[in-house]
Amino acid sequence: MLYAIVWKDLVAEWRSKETLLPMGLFAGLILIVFQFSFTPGQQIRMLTPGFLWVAILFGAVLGLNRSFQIEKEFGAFRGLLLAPIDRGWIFLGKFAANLIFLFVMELLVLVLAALLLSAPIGGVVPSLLLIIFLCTVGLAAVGTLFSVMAVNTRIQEVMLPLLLFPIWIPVLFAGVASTEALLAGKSLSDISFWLNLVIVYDVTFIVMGFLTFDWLIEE
Amino acid sequence: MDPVWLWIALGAVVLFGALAGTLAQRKNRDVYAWVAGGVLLNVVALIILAALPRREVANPRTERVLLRTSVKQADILSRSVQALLLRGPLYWILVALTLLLILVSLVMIFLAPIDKTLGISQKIFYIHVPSAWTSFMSFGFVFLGSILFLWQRKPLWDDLGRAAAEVGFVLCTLMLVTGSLWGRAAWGPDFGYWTWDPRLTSSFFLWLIYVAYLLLRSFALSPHRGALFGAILGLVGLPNIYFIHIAVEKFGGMHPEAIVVRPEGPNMPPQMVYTLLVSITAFTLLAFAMIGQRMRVAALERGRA
Repeated sequence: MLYAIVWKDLVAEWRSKETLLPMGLFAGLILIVFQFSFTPGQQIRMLTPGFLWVAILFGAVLGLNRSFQIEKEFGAFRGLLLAPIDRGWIFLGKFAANLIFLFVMELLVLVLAALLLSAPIGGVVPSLLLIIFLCTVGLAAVGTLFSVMAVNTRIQEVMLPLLLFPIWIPVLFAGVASTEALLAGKSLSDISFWLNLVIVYDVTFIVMGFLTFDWLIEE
Repeated sequence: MDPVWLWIALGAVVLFGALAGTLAQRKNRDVYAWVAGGVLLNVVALIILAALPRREVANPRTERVLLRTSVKQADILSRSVQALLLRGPLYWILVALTLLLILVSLVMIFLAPIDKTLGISQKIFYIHVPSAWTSFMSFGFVFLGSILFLWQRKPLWDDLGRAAAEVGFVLCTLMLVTGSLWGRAAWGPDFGYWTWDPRLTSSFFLWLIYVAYLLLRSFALSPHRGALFGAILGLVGLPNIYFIHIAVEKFGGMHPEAIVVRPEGPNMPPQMVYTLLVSITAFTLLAFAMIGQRMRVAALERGRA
């Protein structure tokens, strides 16, 4: 059932391309806007981790806004609810799909950052991908939880970032601090504090989402 | 075995693994207590979450039927809160005591000695520290109200969560404003009204969580949904404050511009300590009284609707 939900989301995305494309473009645009909001050459390398993560976060909000909106259109969510499974698995399915979307978007942002900002990520790609992936798990877990809430409010587009950013802050700190450390030539063991923090965060919010999803979708 | 418990077990194992990893580093000893506290809090929160009753799921495979928790026990709890805090004379005693203590603490604030290094600006602490304490306490009540609401589904507990969030928001704003005023006076105009010191940053995010909670409640599509969403945000918010605190402490450590000037300590004259204690008590009672009053109003509103 988990795979069925993930597969459904992936197929729908492949056919419509309405989440990944805007999300990636928007995140890329943010990178470019940053590039032009500072004088060229002015410590731009120092700011690269910040650019990267702000672009990722804003892009993620855009994508997560779509996540449950597509379920609401044509009452697709009702169909999901009729499935004879624990509601928590619906959460896990949506979470996995969001995780894949966000991660693909981040890969795109990373490539763009390397090309456009000439970010020096050459030697640290594997460890950078690891930390980005771990952070994305947290982003997607919290994002899936709150995008259900936001869809059921009157001001969805504004509500989602307002809910997400205060909760995402630890991930942002971890992401920026460890990206900064990696770009400065430090190894993974130097940032084990942040890795631990993010792992604990990920597990907490996946389990929380799994357990609270029942109440979230109650009518 | 219920899959929920598998998840709990997995979560606990990874949590403690991560904790052990952090401890093995032998750096930043001051954050250990926070990490340990956060992990403990998470485990407790998750166990409570897993134990709370949820709506019956029509599941032909497992036929999971969840029994209501003992109704009698539940009634005792909510009835006693109603009788003590909301209906009985105890509430008015509380209000009278609050007013009295506010007056006493005002007098004491004027009589307390003036700090030699900080001057008159130190006196804002008698407002700042109590409002900080009560705003954290209120978030504790939001958490409590959320759990009790999800457990018993009584509107009373939802009122508790919402009332505590509103009062906590006001007190948190008061804390930020008094803190900024003091910071400007004590740290000088070079720092302005705000620096991204760890403590300031985490208070600011607490404030943002309050804002998100209140907005979520006001803009939810139905009151029932609003109550459920608020309860879930209340549950998620508390562990998150711990995460923010740990992250901010460490992150702040990487940027040494932050300056923490902390005048309190063991060398504070006893008059100051007593004044602070009295004003903290006054604020705590005030918070109780305001939360109680807000809950009464909510009950009346519901009665009319």
